[in-house]
Amino acid sequence: MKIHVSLHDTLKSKINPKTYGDKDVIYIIINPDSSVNDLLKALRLSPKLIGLVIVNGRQVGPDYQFSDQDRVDLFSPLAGG
Amino acid sequence: MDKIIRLNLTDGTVSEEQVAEKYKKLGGRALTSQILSDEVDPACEPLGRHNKLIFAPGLLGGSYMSSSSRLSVGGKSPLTGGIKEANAGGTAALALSKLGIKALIIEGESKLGYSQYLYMSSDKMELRPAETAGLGVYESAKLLFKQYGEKVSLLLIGPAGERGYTSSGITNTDPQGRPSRFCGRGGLGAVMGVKGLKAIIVDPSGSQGIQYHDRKAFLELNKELIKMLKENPATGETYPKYGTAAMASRTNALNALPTRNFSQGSFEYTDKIDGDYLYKVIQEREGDGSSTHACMPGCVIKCSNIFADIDGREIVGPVEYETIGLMGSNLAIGNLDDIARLNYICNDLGIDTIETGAAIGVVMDQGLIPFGDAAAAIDLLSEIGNDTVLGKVLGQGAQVTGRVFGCRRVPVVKGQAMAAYDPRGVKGLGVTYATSPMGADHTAGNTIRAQIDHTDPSHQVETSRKAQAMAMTADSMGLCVFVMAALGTHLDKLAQLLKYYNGTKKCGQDLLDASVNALKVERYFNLRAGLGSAHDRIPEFMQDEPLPVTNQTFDVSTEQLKQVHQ
Repeated sequence: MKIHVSLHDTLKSKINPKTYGDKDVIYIIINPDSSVNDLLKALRLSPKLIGLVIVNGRQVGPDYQFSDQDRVDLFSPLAGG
Repeated sequence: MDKIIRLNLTDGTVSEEQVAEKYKKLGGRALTSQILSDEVDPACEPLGRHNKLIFAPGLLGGSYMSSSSRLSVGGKSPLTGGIKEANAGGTAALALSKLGIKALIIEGESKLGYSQYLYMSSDKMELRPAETAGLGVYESAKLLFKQYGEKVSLLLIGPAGERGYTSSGITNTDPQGRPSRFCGRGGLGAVMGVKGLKAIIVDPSGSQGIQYHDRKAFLELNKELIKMLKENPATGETYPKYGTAAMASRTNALNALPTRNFSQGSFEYTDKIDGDYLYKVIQEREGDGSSTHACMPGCVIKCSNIFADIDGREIVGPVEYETIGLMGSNLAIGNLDDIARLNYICNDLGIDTIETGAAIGVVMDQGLIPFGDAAAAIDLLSEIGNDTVLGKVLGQGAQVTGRVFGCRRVPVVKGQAMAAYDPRGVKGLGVTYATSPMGADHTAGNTIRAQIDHTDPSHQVETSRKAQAMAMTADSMGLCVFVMAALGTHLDKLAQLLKYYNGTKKCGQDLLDASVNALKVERYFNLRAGLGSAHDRIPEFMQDEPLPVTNQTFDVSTEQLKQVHQ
């Protein structure tokens, strides 16, 4: 299944630019029932880099399982300001 | 820090006192709130002669710890009618610490008919006539640096504070002399203004070095803590590079970014005002601009920035997330140059961008000017600057503005405007807005960092309670709340640092217990001021109107809210 991933600020520089270019949204094909960790593995991102995962406008935890066409926003950890 | 300075504006005297035993273990907000509780009748008029204004560095103030020289300013708030502490970075707390000052208490009111300065140095402290009375904050700073030299720290109010507008704050200067570090919330600028004080000049030159209880041990532990700050992804990477503006894309994704007077939770132009874009614009324009800037000497987090125009000339520094929210998305203004200009004008007048942004959002909602019309928003700021009737209304903040314009959707708690997080999107912060003694205040207990579902009403009481205690801890130590992003789970180390600094023997839990106690002191002041649990409420429109897209209302019950402080 295909999901749309947006990487924000510091995470943009953490993936291979050759693979994903300079796009704001990237598309990635993953297996059905993939978890957040599976997605991070596919993107070669360490879970330690991730502070917030939003799927279709809703925050999700690490055990969320993706559905086809999910829109994902990934953010590094941050405190309020 | 071994002395308390007391300025009595009624008789014009400045005196020095020893620190009472009960205050020795307190600093920053815990200290200002305790002194207010001891010395001020909670039922007094906030703009009357019985209110006091208290300036205090935190317990780590003056030390080499990064980000430890926040300044707390306390008083009864003319905006909320309750106890208030507003804090900021800048240079003032460090300068006061160098002079050995634990707290500066300002009481009474001047009947002289002209504004004054308080000049403070290691060999004299005296009142002087204020030549910058009526001037904007930037011009005042320029003239004062010319007169007193560049090494002083300045605390200032703008014309808004001098007029007693309850949206006004107290600013102090950053290491390059910008008067833009605002103790912005709650109208304390008005308290200073009606007392007849325009500025405080703190000259630390010639002061003795700071004393440590165990300097060697302090420096060693300090080194370790600074390393932790640098290695943490938030404090070591996101904040230095993107600043607080990085929050915009997050709240937008959470559908919690105030948009069009808190009627929406996401803004179609967030990508033109968020941290990523701000960074890009600053980098491209070069010149005076900078993405990484320390508001306090020695801070390694450096979340501040300097924003330049297209020719590389400085417009304002910093452009913060709160202004991007309340004067950007909340007003449907999706342009950083416009936001920066609005920010500069507010700074110069000495008004809080959060309060003013919320007030402008209210009048936009009532159709006075269109949403998105930045030029019209600037005209409204001119009205405030010119003290017109409309300006007087806006200058009193969102609640008064809402009342005058008959608006049913006014985003305030206890009369203070909410920050750039819609409580329907971050419900834990909504609980803080409702139950904090400070009124709607994001720095009093932000829950955005918690690894919980922010829209599930069942987790939020506990999360807010913990966040409020943590915020009080930072506020009392003089630490920027961002330090807690990296060190909040290492309170024992912070307690040890404190021990090496001033000999206080505490562990991490003791720090939290002291914070819980300080919150009780504040709540008790508020009760005696007439603010009870009936005021611990989120506006009804946020309970009734769901935000589009996520359809969330604020649904943490009144019963649950009552449990926060039990």
